[in-house]
Amino acid sequence: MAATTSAVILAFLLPLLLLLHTLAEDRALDAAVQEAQRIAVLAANVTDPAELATLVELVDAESPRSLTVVMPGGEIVGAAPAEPVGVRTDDQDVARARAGAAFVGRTGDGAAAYVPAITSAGTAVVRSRVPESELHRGVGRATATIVGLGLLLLVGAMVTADRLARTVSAPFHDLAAAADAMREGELATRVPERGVPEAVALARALNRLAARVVGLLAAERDSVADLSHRLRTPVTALRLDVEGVTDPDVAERLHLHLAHLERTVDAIVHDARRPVRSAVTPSGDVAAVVAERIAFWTPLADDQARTLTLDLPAGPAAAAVDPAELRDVVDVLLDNVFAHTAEGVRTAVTVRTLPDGAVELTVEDAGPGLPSRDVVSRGTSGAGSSGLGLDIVRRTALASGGRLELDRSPLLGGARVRLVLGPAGS
Amino acid sequence: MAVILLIEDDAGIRSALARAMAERGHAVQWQPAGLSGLRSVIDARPDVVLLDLGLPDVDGQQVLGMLRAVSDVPVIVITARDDDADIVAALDAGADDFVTKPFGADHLDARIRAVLRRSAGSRAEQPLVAGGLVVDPRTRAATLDGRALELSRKEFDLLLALAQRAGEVVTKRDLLAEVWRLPYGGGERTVDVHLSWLRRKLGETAAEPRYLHSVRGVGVRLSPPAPETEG
Repeated sequence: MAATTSAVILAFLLPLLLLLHTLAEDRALDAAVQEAQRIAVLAANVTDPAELATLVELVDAESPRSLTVVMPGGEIVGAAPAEPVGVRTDDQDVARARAGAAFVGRTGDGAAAYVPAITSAGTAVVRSRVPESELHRGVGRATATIVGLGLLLLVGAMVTADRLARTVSAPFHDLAAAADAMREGELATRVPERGVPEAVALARALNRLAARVVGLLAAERDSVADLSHRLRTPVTALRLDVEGVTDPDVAERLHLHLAHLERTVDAIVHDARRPVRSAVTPSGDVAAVVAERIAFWTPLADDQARTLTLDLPAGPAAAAVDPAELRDVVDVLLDNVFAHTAEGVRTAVTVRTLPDGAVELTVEDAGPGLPSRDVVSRGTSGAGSSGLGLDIVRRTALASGGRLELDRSPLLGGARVRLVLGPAGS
Repeated sequence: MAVILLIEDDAGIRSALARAMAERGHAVQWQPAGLSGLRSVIDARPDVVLLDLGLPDVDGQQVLGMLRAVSDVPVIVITARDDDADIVAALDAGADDFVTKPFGADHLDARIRAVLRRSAGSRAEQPLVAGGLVVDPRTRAATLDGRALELSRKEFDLLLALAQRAGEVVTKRDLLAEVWRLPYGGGERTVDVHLSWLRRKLGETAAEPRYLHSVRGVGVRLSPPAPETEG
């Protein structure tokens, strides 16, 4: 940008400066020629040499040039004595002028205009000499001004060009940022349609694309939700008939399968209802939620003479789980304790933050322990919905970047459920 | 025990439900579509109507509207969609209760009985009194010996359900269906916890009950304590 602009400016300035130089010379030489011509007329008409000499000296005194008249007899009138002039050169030019030529010749220092004057006594030669300084008077200052203006122009052009470029490119930066945001899942992003026509066209196209994607996703989810709702009708008939099965073992197994089927359909409907992307990464304070749920279950624990010990960290323990899901998870774990252990059994609940920022929730009891390793696999616990409840807990843990571990409590001897939840912001 | 009219287009649900309700002592008639169902309501005069909102011929809400124009019979709507909007619209249009698919027979049975109970007692929406306990369903306020009780929504609903059947043992299954609208099988501890909270609010414990008596293995009964004798 700068190179182009300076090249253009230089291309203008150099000829301009040259022109300036030439113009100054021409002006000075023109003045010399005119002066010489006027004096020539004077010399042709004034016959008295003394009078001519006085006039010439008068003019010379006021002129920035050196005025000399060489009379037909050879005597010099005017500024001759003060000049350091090469006689030979002078003679040549003078001779040429005496022969009748009017011209401008270069001297060692400047230039001179020679004009012949026809007098009654012969041909006189009028010479008006322009010194070097007079020849280029004013060029220096003009050059400085022009160069200064040129630089100003250059700087101004560069600033304007930069501003202009920014105005053009800014909308494209916005477009790129918006496209990135959409990629991250913020499909509600829309780009303002401004800038050059190309930017406006692109912005409009991007906005239309985003709207279309949102529409397609919503339609997709709607059809999934609709299908799942339609599934509920045959499942209802199934449930009603399963309830009519008399064989208790068969009935129990069928009930578990049915419950699993129903939860799956519910999960599909629930997932289909979620907005395309929740704007905020889920985050819930495990310590606070556990404290709240324990408070809720405490009256029942008291009524059932269960000792509930609670060990919570001093401050919040944030995990990458939505608070509502967190409440459900804690409820499932506590519900399991109440469901599978007798009254009066001790239970301990611990929450602690692990070194990597993950949050560990442990629920252990002094009950009979877990029936088998397969409790978490779907519906095989044979103890109602607890297997399915733990399945939901496990899915929540995995979704947050954590895990679920089930083993025997070394402290209390019964079941120990350890839930590790990924740190918030992961 | 009740004459049920089932307006349902799905044959599977019809046959299963008819059998299940008959097992529980109800007489079931059915119609496969809205308009024929409407005729049956007028002709057969059932005790309760089960109306599926997803009927093929007429929109369920419209059937409800037309039904209400000709009859006051209690109506329970059956819906597959558990969107609040649909349910609120149905209740506003005159339905007495709703069940969402899939539902179990016991759950439905409990709801039918609750609806029948409510419609029977709806003439007299009087506050229920049991000893020093007064439960007013209209203002949703409860007092014990003149002192107002601060109850959560579910706690009040639980107390009301027990008060409406004061002296009777109410199973947890029924309470789950009536107060929480949940099928049995996993949710009964919710009843236990809320019962414990209710006890706290009433100032008693399970070990030393005054109004709320748990009958192990069966359910819970609300009955006022015997008046204390002087001396």
